[in-house]
Amino acid sequence: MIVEDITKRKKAEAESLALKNELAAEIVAMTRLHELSTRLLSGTELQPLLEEILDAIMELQKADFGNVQLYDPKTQALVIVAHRGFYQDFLDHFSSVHEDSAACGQALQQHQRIIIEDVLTDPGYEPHRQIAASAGFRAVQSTPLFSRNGEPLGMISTYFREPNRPSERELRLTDLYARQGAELIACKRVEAALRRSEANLAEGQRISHTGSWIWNISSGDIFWSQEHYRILGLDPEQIKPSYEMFFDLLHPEDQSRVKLGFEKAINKRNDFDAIYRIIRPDGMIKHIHSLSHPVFNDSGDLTEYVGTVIDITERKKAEEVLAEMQAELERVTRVTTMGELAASIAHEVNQPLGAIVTNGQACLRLLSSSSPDNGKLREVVEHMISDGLRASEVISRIRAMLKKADPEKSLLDINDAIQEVIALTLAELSRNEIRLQTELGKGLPQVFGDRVQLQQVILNLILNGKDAMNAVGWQPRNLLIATQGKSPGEVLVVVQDSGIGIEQQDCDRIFNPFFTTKSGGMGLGLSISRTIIESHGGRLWATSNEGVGATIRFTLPA
Amino acid sequence: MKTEDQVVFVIDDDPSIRQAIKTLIETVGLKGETFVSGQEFLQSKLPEVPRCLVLDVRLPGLGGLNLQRELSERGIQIPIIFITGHGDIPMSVQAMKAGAVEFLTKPFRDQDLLDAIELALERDRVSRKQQAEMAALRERYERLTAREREVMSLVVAGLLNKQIASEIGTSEKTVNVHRGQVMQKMQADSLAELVRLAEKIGINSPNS
Repeated sequence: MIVEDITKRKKAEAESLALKNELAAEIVAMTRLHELSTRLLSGTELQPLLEEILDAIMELQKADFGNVQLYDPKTQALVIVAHRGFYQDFLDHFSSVHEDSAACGQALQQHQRIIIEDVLTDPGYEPHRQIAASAGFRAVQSTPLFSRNGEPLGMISTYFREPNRPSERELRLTDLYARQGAELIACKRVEAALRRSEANLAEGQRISHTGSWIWNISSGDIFWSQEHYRILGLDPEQIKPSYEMFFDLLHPEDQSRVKLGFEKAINKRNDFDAIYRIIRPDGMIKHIHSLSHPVFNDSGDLTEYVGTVIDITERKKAEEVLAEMQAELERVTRVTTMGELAASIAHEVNQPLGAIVTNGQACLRLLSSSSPDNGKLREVVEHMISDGLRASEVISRIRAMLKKADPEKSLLDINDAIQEVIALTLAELSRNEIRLQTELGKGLPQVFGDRVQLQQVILNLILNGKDAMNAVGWQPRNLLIATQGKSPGEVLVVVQDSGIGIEQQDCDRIFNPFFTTKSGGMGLGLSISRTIIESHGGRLWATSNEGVGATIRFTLPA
Repeated sequence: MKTEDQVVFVIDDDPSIRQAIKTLIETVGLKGETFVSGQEFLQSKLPEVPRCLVLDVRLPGLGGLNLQRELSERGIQIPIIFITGHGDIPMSVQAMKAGAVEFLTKPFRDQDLLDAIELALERDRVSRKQQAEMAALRERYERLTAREREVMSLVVAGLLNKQIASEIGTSEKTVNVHRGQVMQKMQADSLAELVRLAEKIGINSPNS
């Protein structure tokens, strides 16, 4: 009885001790696992952490060798990154494993753990028996690592000198380690991808001169990308961005406009799109195109504005140079055109001068009479004054056409502008025996435009008409200039000649720069005319008349 | 001749020039009439008094030189003074060849224009006088009989009465009677006068 009791007690004590030991081992294992996962969270490099996991599993399973492989999605192969106890020939043999008969290959293929209790009896392991013998193992365990969405990440394998199968407990704990390993690898992959995409973003921002920013409205915190700092010429190490500081950088002329615009956008929770200048600390002026967009939280409150700043300084400069060149080209062709008119214009000035001289001489004759007729004298002097004014008007019109001035738009009466050009060309038309007819519409709305540019267009069209009529032999030479109020908000100008007309296929080509059918022409007149009209928001086109000649029409918004 | 009986026509498309020239002309007591174009001038009825035309070379429509030709073709004789705003030498040469009195470039000296007008009017006056004389002469000649014209042509050719008689187969006395009629009807005082008149109306001797 006693013996029995003692035996029973001993047995119970032994069982209790075993349980205690088992629990202690469990606690150690769990503690170690916990420590590991804490380290993984603050993790630095992947390699030492993977080695640590491997050591833990080997210790757990009392394995003699072990290795960790990572799965390369590109080559779809497992590559050894950490190992314990192997010689080079083994490493070479398993340097790159695809889905195949080795334990790790099968585990990868079957998405589950593979255990080969004895490599000598397992028929599938036959191809690797030699290397197993050479490395000195008889049993293998391979546990695959998968991401949460099932992508293969890697493999942890343990090897044993004697035939062996790890216990269920060992395998359960191994799974926990494997889970940690998988998390770790996935996390590092995401980090790497993030770093890559961040690098891409920074590179993209640098190349496109685009900076980005985020403004948290409640906290007032502002984030600027590297490129944002660079565009503004600020040092990220020394500057903490703030709303006020940003607006202080703005060009004084742009400050209130942009600030008010942005505040309005915030109030209405709209996107904001603005072009402005900033003055960098180094004094350089940058032209910025900024786009921004409100961000709302789930309950619909405005939380942030995110935006971009694009450095458009180079583009602005190029545009300015282009505009200057365009203006200069217009001026040069205007001067050239006026040169064509020089003889006629000289005549136009000479006429009133001739009249003044003759009237002056008549005055002297009247004065030398014994009883000068004061009424007649007054009348003649008044003629002289109006002729003098007329000559001076011609001169000022020419000066206006020739002066170097930036285009300046204002409201103007298109008929007035046309009349002034006609005054300049009348002599030229008469010299070429061209009969001019005008049908200028009454009560037309004013148009918004640059007087000189529009007059240049009209002048070009009149002179083109003249050339077209000179190009034919004897036939009536009629030039019609008409204006009409077309649809509401549009004025139509028509210049019709009875010249050689335009071939159907040339109706569009005549607007190409340097296209000309005239021996002395530069081929720029119509091209520039169309550019000018289009810059006024109008259209200019040519048609051939049913009878003789051609008609050019253009519209202007009014 | 009184100045009121003379007219200076001015054609220029420029109203200032028209007015100024008209004023100048009127200061010397001449009558000026202005026209905008050649067509307008051609359509108007011109008075048969000493007259001249101050004409702008460059006119819209019918140009100055074309108007000069047109007038000539219509048999309208009028001295022309051309004015131009351009110193256009080829045009002036053409105008002068076609009988223009003067070619002035604007602005011109008033005296130059007035001198040219005076000259033009004088020419017109002379040519009117000549035309009137010629018309009268032709009228006298028209009154001669066929026999008298025959005798006249032989007389101015220098033949003696006897020779004429033999030429036309009549008596010397009859020739003498015809000759007396010719002298009277042609209002010639002498043989020399008759020869001059004959030359004027273009009667050539049958022998020459």
